[in-house]
Amino acid sequence: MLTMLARLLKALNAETSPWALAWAFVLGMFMGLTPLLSLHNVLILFLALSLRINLTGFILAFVVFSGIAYALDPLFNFIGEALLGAAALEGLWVTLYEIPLARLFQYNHTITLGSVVFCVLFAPIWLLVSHKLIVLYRGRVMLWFGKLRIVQVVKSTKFFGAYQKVSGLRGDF
Amino acid sequence: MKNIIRWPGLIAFLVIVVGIAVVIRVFAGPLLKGGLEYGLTRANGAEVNIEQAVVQWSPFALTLHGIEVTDPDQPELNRVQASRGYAEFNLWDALIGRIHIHELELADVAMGVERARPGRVRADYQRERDPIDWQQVLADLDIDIPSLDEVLARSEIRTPDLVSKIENDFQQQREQVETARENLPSRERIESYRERMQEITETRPRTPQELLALRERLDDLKSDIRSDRHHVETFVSTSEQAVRVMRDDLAALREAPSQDLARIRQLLSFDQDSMSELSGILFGPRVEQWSRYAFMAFDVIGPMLQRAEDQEQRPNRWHGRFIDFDRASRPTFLIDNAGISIRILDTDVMSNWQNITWQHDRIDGIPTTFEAGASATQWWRELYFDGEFALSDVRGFSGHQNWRVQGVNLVEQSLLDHQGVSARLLGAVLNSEGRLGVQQGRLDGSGLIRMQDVDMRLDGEARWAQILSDVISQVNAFDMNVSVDGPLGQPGLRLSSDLDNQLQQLLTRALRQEADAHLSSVRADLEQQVAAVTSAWEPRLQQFTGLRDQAREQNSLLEDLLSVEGSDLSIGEQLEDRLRDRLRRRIGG
Repeated sequence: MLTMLARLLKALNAETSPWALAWAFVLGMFMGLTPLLSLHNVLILFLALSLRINLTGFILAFVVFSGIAYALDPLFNFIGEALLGAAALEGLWVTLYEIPLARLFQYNHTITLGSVVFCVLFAPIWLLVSHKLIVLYRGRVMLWFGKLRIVQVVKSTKFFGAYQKVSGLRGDF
Repeated sequence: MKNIIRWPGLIAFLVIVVGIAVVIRVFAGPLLKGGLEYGLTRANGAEVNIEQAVVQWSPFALTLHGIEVTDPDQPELNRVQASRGYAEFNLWDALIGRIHIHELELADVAMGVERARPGRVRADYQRERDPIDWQQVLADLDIDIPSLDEVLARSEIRTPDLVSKIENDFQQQREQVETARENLPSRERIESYRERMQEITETRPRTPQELLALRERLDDLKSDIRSDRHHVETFVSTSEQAVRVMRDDLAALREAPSQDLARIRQLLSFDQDSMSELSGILFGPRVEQWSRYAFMAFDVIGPMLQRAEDQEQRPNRWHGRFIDFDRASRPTFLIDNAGISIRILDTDVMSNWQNITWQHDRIDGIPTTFEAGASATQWWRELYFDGEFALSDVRGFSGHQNWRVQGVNLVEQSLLDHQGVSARLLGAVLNSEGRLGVQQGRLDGSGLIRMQDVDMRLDGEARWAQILSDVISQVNAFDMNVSVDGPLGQPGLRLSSDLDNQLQQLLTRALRQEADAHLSSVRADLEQQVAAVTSAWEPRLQQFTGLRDQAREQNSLLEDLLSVEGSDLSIGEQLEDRLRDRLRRRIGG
């Protein structure tokens, strides 16, 4: 875990594109907030592996958002119940119900639909917020952070040793 | 594009996906076999085995070999088994739980076949109805075979009491007759009355004074006669009563031994209630096994209906729920055509089914129909089943099944082997027909099983079994009425048969024959008692009869003498002539 955190710090501190990191956070959020064993997560995994996004950021976002998901499940359930129960959308749901692929995506599961819709709506916001935070971190926080006495102390710890070890590696992993 | 795509990751993903696809393709059979065994075992409540599963991808079809479904109530038997099952269906529909089988073939389907080893029963299995334990019924039956000594002890033989009572009666009657007889006038006295009357009537009064004196003599004579006539009348009445009582008593006494023996023989019979279960004990398990074939159609549809009764998922904010948008446009389970070959007595009976589903409303209410028939074989002359059923939201589950089997040659088989009693059916010809209906998921029906050319053997240590073994071979034909009632999966059977009556009559006859030797000595003893009484009292009765007749004659004579009036004496010659003539006629003088 320490190694993974160190890699994330390296990515934040390195030349990795802020957008690559922001997209990794977005895809990790998708996978973390929605039920794991869903067909759409295969698509998310495909995108995460195929596109040049930061995998460490993706995995950490997935872990963090998986924990948050437990607290948000009632909200997702509410959204899903509201959408699937909406009279205006009934025709769409009935049509999809007869399509095997749609059923495999478990569109008619309240938490699955609710979480996916939430993620789709929240993704642009989270993408921009992530990007902004990364840029801010690199421009201001990283310098200020490095001058802190506590950071000086940390640099003398085992964690910093791991960080330095990772810094010697090549690539994004 | 080069900066966007991470080729190693893309290739790794494709490798994983393709690898999973290859694994599924290669191991689809074993994977499906395991999945089906697990799912079917849960549904069945006991172990379900599939020897091999083979997947055909285009058109998609699944072939299962060696299907065995354990009977949870009798784990040593298979509820149903088939050597091969083939189903051709749409895979995509199946993946979303919509099963539409175009062609289904089941080969060598058999019910109640013994397993190689008992199947495991799930701990959470709960049977819906306790089956009838015929062997326990036998243990509880306690067939009461009355012994002759017991019967004699409670038979209330009435002859000795009757002898005693009649002797008392006779003594009483005799005393009454003797008492009355002591007051009877003597013969001489009666004769003197006659002579005195003759003298009076033959006297020729010549003067009125003589006539008056003669009338006074007549009045005196009649007064004397009247006093004795009362005693004669009393004796006549007493003797008549004595004769009547003695005749009736002697007649009853002569009948008493026969009546006592008839009563003893009546007691030497079997309790009808205890015998009413015997046909169930002997044939109950076998009829239950036979009935599995009668329930064939409903055994097929039963598990499907349980799926239809699955409750809708309840909302759960932490786990969510699947919402059903099924608008009843298509059935979620449908088998267009099914050919099922049923194994009966080493012979395959082909059955054809159409439109197997539990959602008949979604196929315009067209019912599921089935028909099974077989031409004459060495095992039977005719075998035919047909029926239909439908499940409707409005009418519920309804349907019927008819069967007609003729000339089924039953081979030697065990009927009972319990507590040292064994019964075997060596051979019989079975004919049966009936109808089984279903309303609201409950079975209700009846059938007649007619057994002919029956050859049975029974052995056992119990006394009733020994007697029964002698008579059971005499049973040549009997009927059994089977009625069915209960829930679809666990119907209850009731069995009634005239076999019980036959066995009861034959056992009673055998028991009486066994007792006849002893009963003849009982009869001889009773008849001896009766003969002793009758020989003593028959002469008495004759004597009383003679005395009664004599008394009647005396009474008649005295009545004639009293009929002479004083006025008759005033006419002279006419009086003389009339009295003389009358007396001559009455007394024969």
